[in-house]
Amino acid sequence: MWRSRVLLAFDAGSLCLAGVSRALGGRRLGGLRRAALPERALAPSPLEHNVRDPAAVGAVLSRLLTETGKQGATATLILPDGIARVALLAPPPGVAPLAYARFRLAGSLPFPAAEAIVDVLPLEGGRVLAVVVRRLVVEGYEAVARAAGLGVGRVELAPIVGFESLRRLGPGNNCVVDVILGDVAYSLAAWKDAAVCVFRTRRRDPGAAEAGQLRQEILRTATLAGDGVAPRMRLVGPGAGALVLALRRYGDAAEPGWHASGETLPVDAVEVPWLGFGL
Amino acid sequence: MDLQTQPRPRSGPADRWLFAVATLVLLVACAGAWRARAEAAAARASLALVDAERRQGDDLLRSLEGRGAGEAGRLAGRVALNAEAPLHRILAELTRLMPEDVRLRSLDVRYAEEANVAAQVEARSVAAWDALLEGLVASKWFGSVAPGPELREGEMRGEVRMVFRGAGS
Repeated sequence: MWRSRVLLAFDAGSLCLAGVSRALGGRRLGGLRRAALPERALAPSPLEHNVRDPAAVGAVLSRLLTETGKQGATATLILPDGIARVALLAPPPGVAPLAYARFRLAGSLPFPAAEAIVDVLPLEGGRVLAVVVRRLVVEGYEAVARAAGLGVGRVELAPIVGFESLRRLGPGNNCVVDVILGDVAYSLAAWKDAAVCVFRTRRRDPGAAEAGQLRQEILRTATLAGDGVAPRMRLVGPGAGALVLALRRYGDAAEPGWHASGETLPVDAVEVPWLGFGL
Repeated sequence: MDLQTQPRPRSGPADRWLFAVATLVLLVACAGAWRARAEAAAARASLALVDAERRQGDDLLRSLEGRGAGEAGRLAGRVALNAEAPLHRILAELTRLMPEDVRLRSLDVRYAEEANVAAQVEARSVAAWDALLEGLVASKWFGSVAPGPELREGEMRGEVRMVFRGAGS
């Protein structure tokens, strides 16, 4: 039986639902709806159950589904930043990247390796971006979706979707630092000579000093990549618009990662880190 | 990337290789089917051409057979007439009917549907000429007796055309 497909993105402060359709050359997102979650109903964390209040999250999701008429659809879940460990690895020739990622990351996990879900994103030069999440964390999100009547398809991670989208828009030449923001954490990817050199994840500290702290992390990331002088900065995710303005006040070359054209969104396009899923 | 707790089976390099091979085989099969279809169309066209030629050949054969049967019939009839009306028999019967004053100058026998006889005759008298004609008309061996042009200069010269009926007539 054919089921329509939707994209369901979780974060600490909100749920987003969008229709996914096939389009020439890829996917297309449409009818994006966003609904705020009650405070502390969902708390992204790499170790514990994130969905603290399944009833409240389920109620918001059911309301979104009713409003959009997407009940019973198959959903691609996009989980928030701050729940996974991400590492840039270079598997030896002839070694399966996924097996290598399991081998490298299993010993340093703060939970039993048997509970780890590992996947890799192939990059240039045979390197991979390895992602590890704890099974019970993912199960919590899947359970909420299933309880609302959705079928669960793929499970993606917001910072990886954002990173891939920025990469498709154009890899950074010279020194570029991409910042993919979430509600509670953000990821930084430093590019040099069209290759990703560093990938880091940090907790957010919202407040007046956030722009300054973020700037320090960006410069540190650029230094780790081998060039810390005046990197170009591309930002996407919640608060990206305000942070771009704040960084420009420091004299930095900061810019929004993307703009939306021809689409009416409930929020500014740059505030949605996974919007490039439709690219 | 897919982090779901019940991941679907992944496609490895071997699967991708097999898929590529299968795609290639499919493309080759499609190309072969297309080529075979074109060849079948060409074969059908050739068959139609050959069939038309065969029909033309049949028509020609039928016409030749018909013509051959007529020719053979005519030939068979001529052979039969030759057997029934041999020249010596015609000559003997004609001579028997000639009066003493009549002499046969030439005789022409043509075998067709019948044995057509044309005799050039010379008679010393009109009475002998008339007697010859009466004898021919009365003879059971000859029919369709038709005197031709006559030349009367002391003696008579003329031609008589007739049909030799043969023994069975």
